[in-house]
Amino acid sequence: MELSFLAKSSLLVAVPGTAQYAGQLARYVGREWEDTRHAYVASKEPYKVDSDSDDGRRLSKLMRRESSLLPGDQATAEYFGLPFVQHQNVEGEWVPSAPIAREVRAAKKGND
Amino acid sequence: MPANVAVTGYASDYRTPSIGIELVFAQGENISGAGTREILVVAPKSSAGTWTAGTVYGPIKAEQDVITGGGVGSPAHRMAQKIMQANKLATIYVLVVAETSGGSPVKATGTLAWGGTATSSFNYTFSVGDEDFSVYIKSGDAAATVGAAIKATVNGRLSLPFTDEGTGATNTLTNKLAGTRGGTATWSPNRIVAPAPGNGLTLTASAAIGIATAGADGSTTEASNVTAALQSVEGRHFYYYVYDDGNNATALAAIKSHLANKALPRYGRRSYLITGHNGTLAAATTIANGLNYERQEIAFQPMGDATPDHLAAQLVATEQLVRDADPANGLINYSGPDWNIRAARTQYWPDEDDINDAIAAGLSCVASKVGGTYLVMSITTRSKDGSGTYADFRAAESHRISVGDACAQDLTNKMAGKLGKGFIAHPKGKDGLPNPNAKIPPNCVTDFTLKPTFTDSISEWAKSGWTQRVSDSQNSLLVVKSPVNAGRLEASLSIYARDNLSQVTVRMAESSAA
Repeated sequence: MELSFLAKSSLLVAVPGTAQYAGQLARYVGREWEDTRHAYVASKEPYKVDSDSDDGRRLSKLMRRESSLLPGDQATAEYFGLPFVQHQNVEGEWVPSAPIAREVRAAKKGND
Repeated sequence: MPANVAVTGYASDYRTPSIGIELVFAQGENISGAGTREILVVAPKSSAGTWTAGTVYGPIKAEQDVITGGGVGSPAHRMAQKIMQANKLATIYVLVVAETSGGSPVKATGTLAWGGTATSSFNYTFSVGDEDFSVYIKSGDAAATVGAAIKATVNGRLSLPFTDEGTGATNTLTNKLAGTRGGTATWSPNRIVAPAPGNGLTLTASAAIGIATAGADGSTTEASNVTAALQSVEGRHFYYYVYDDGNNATALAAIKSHLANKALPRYGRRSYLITGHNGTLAAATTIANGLNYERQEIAFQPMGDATPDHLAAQLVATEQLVRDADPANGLINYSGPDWNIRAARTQYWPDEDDINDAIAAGLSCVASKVGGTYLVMSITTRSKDGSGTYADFRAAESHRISVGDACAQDLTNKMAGKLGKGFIAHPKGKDGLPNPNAKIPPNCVTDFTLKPTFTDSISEWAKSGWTQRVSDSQNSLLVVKSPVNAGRLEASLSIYARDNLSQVTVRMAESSAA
């Protein structure tokens, strides 16, 4: 299955199998380098990987051992036996979506 | 001035010829302090300690001195104790940091909540951090009796960083010092491993100290106290600094700033910090990335039971011991007789991918094996380029910093004897080049006569095994009398720290005919 991950708080998880040659930009799961903030901020799109691939197995192991990533969708959360919590990207960091904000958005949608 | 070894009854004015031996017991470790690279333990004392924050004490010769001054079980005591156990040559000083205060500082806690009544007699074993505890539980013991037995066992071990302040059937393991250093929801320096007891008893245990109650700093944080304390050692050189809370990014940044300033050429007090981390690979990577500094190293046991204070103290003790003899030692797969770090639980033993990621992130990984642990290799946090953006391994192997510092110190010692001599322009020959046969007045030197000090040093460093590529180093050497400051000799050169063999790869084909 396809696993989907979001970067969690300030934690840095190296992208599996990435060569760290001199001069190469380091790569972290669900993050991208942003020059203006001089930091690896959370990408807006989840990091996706096949659970049966080498990279998928590596991230599954890290997820089970350290829980250093957030499940990016319901299926991934279920795969790891975790509750799925909707998150929103606020200035380069994923934070739990406020239930009230979700309800307001849902209500707005209903009114449209 | 060497430390005074006091013996009861032998005041300095006592003159009677005699041999007085004072035999004392239950005193902890004693060390000689003969090591040349001095260690400064930067750590808070507990309220029981008599020392004053912002003051340096030492050289420490006896563990009892740190117990009295820093408080038993304080970070200052525990790190000094560990260093003394591992390295009898260590020269140790302690810079006392005040405990966090003001506002509402909180001591981290973890609990063991017992229920039921024992239906048979058995020994129950659990661990907190790298300490094992065993209590005998007798058939018929109620939960409160078990709790009381554990409380007595825990509080009987004075060197622990926590006490049991629980009552009845609940053991409340409480960090001796307030602050996040004791543990939070995301930082577990003291993990609790308490299996289900069975035999009629139930147990609900926190996974670590800091889970039941998260530690919190007061309005005056430990990081600000570290910053303040460091000001008192700006004028004094210590080679190694050791600070235990490897998750305190603010304190580590303050130490980085302090070290960077002291290492400036004008001050020349080149130093090196070692700290400890036993959290997740991702959390340690974040800390290392934030530091990205060649004079800071993190002893890292992923999800380990070894505590950060013991990880940091063990590594500094080992580096001091090994690199006093050989500054270029890379500590590769190191598990010498001084090395004593508890193995992680099997499920947390780092595999080759974990180790490689740790190295690439600038972490000195402590890996586990059957029967113990070993240091994979000594790595600085400087895994990226100066901007902190791109991979750059050139200053990651810590022996390169150690060698650079050793060479710089050697040159400093040699040049110190030259200062004050007359400094004249070297006479030139008809060809316009320095005349090697020119007669130099007594008590005078020239850029030309000083050059051999450098070339000879380069040869000596290579002969000692510190460096390599002697010709390249010597050919890179430029020594001139400054055109803008008449009393200054200016020199530049390249040095090449030796490489250490860390991998062997072989492609071997079994080539029998079919």
